[in-house]
Amino acid sequence: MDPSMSLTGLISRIIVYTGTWYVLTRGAADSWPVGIPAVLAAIYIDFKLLRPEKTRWSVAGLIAFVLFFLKSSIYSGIDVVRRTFDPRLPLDPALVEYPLRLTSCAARNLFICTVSLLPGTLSTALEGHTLVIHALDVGRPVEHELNIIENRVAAVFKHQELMNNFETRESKK
Amino acid sequence: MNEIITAVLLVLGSLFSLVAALGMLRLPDTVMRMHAATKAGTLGAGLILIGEAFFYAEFGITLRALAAITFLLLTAPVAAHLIGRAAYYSGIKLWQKTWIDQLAERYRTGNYSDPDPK
Repeated sequence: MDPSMSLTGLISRIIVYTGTWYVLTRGAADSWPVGIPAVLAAIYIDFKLLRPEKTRWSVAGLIAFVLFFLKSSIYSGIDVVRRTFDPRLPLDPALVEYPLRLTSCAARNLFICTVSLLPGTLSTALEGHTLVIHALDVGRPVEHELNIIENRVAAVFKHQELMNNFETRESKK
Repeated sequence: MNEIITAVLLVLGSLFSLVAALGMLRLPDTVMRMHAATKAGTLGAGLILIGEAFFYAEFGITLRALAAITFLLLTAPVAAHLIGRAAYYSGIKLWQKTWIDQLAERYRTGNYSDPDPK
């Protein structure tokens, strides 16, 4: 049996989802006829979508990531304000292909979502190991910024190996 | 003091939400509109929720605001990715000044194999 589908996995999910429902409904007793089926459905979908892979979290990495994310997120909002309000619409958009260096699915998910919330980049499509990114302004060092985000994500997941560089990827093919 | 912080957060949050709406109108194509909706929209709603948590300064409400922010952060980029993806594959025309695959020529190494074939 897959280790991630263990009893502890089930119990922790019951606690998390029941807790979430409790918080959202302020513990209203009459909400449970809807809440219990919702929790069960969430657990079922969670297990259904679960990938059999071991992920290890680093608390320090996660805190550093959250701080980095909050800071960049505010900058990201201001960037949109600037571009939207400027009558000249300062845009130099591009579709950019970015070969992912992260290897695990969990890390990739976090990276793809983060890219969309940080300044000037939006993940548009994933093709194999390549992420198609829409950049608002290719005048910025987009690739360098993506590298930084990737390193931050890798720091959240312990033991996450980054593929060395684009050349190794090519030779692996 | 709490009220001032609340007011600042609410006004800032509303401003970012307004920008998200304006971006929808002003920006020239689907994908760029998603930029405005995800970044400014999430930030705006997030700031309003933090303002609410500040105003009530109550454990239950703070917890709920945090849960709502978490769900926003989880769902907004996924929704944007899906819409962007749909636009990309259905070949919706991008703004005429868009560079297509600008870096692709430098990095394209052929067809990558799918890491998890269905």
